[in-house]
Amino acid sequence: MNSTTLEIYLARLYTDAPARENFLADPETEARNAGLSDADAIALAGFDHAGLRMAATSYANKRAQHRRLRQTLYDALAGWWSNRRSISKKTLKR
Amino acid sequence: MNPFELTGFSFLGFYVLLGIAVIWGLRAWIRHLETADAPPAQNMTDPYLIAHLRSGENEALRVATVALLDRGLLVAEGEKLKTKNSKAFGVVQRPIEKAILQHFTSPGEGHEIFKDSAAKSACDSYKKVLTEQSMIADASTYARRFLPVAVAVGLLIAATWAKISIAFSQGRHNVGFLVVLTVVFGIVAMVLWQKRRTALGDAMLTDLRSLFLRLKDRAKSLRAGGQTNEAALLAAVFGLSALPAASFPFMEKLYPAKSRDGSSCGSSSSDSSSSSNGGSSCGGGCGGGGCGG
Amino acid sequence: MAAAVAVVVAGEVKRIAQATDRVGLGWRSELAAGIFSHLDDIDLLEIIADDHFRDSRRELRALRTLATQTPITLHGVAMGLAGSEPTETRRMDSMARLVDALAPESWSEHLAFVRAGGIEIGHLAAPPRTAQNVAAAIANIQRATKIVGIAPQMENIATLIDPPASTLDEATWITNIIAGSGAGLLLDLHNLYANALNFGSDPAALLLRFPLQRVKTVHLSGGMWVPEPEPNPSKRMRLLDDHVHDVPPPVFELLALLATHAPQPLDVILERDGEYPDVECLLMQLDAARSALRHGRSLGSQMLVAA
Repeated sequence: MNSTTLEIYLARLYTDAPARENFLADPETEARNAGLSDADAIALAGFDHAGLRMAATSYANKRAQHRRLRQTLYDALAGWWSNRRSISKKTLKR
Repeated sequence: MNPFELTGFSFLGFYVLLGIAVIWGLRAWIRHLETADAPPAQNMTDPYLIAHLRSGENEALRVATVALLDRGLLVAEGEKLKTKNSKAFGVVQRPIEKAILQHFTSPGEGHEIFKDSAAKSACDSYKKVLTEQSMIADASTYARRFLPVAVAVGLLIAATWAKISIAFSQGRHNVGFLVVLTVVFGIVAMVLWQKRRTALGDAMLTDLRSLFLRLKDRAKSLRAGGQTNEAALLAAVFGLSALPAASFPFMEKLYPAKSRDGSSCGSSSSDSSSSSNGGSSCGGGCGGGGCGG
Repeated sequence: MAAAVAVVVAGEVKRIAQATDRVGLGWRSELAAGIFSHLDDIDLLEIIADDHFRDSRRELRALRTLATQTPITLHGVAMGLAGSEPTETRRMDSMARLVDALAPESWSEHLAFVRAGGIEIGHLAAPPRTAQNVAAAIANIQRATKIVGIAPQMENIATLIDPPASTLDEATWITNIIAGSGAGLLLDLHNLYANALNFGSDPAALLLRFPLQRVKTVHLSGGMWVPEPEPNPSKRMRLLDDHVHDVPPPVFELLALLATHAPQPLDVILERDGEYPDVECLLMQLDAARSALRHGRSLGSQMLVAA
């Protein structure tokens, strides 16, 4: 059992919706196709599908939240910059 | 090239740069002197102390008056203010609040409080604390600033004197602008000498503004009603204009916008419906990402 | 012999009675005015470190000013120290710089992985709990300790999914990491409560299986019940730790139980990340935490005497 390989595959299942749906349709085959050992594939096959979906939704919301925050910061910066430019233009016109 | 050989606007340009450099150096020197002290250990939880630091005695009285109005302990009757009733005295604890309530036991206009000796003496304790913590200047601060100011003014006068001597020796007498510039830079130096707040005081105020910054995004959500003194604290840090007029309608009447010492707008933290979530902290909101951390 | 035991017990009882527990809040700028207004009721503040890794000198000075008002601790959320991959050194360097700049009383991180193979999950995820993962987490924590200069306190996370392919249960996994790394334990009681309820165990029993002697800080927060996705014939719900609800009463009971069994002083931090209520509401929860601690301490003393 390789922890690193397992974590990488879990990270993919949490973040990649098509990969997740394929996995849920046929866990063992998909895990093997992803390069996991037989033991890991079997261990993953029986695990909590509802939990996987819920966790993935939760992480997706978190990522969206981070994106919104970044966008807000970007908007604030852009607003400040355009304000400054319009003020300088007005000053120049005077 | 000797800059003192320059003439007309070329020399004035040089002199302006010299003046800016001297003033910048003066500021840095004073800041260095004043931040050599240990940072203030004062607990800055009293809004009136912060207001006093920001703009002095009258600002502390203004913020206290608004806080009392917000808490319903003072009431506005037309243009005048009046203490609601004798029970109000039992609710307040700070001497400044007691002095204001005492003053308005007989109705009066808001600005009258600035002349009330009891209210002014209630502010003295704030001044004492701020002075002891080296956040506002006292006689020793002004004395300490004297040397840098003398050096700066000396440099400016020496440069002016040298140029005038050269100009006169060459038969030119058009030194009016130079004299005016010297006076202007001299005044700026005097302003720095007489500045009320020290560099430590400036730093404290800047720090408080930085800590409270995100509240400004929620200005409109601030509710009046004085359940806590959050509104007073915001007004103390950012000025009375930080309080939204919609929630604090008495403010416009009491202190019209132009008479307020407002630095910017602010906000509050008491809106239960908002759910802003900045930075990398946990949390997600209902149905959101959850935290787990 | 009996006299010696009595002396030891009396000493322990005294130690418990003197344990100076502290109760504080997570610093959120939105709550700044409320926190400043009530600093007398707040013993310490916990600052989210990741929000300040890129702060200017002026912004850092503001936080130092905050630290002059009340003790502070730093809390990281994105290092991923419990991942099997080595944590990036730059993340540890950022924490080291912040610790140098602010001189907090302590710093903490999560027992979680947040990225793997270049994939950013976006938040704290529970890794498969294996011996191999324990070794990797210990290596990460020890490297972080070396770079930052102080050992972190490591926090248990809440998870909606019991990590697959685990060979260790949560309590054993945490105990092994804490024992091997030398780190303190930051025990999030709502996370523990949520995991216990979501995966069918008794919260109190689970708590007692944690290495309670290593607990230095406690997190309290709230959450909400969310239904499992369709098809969900049994209408099962799971508890989502969201930090936007009040602390539920059973979590205070767990705090009392912890105070009964952990004689060392505890720092308790209430976490709130949104839908901010009036600060009085938060202060009431701090008071409830103090009551729970007092109750637990008193029970702990009685148990010792009885023993």
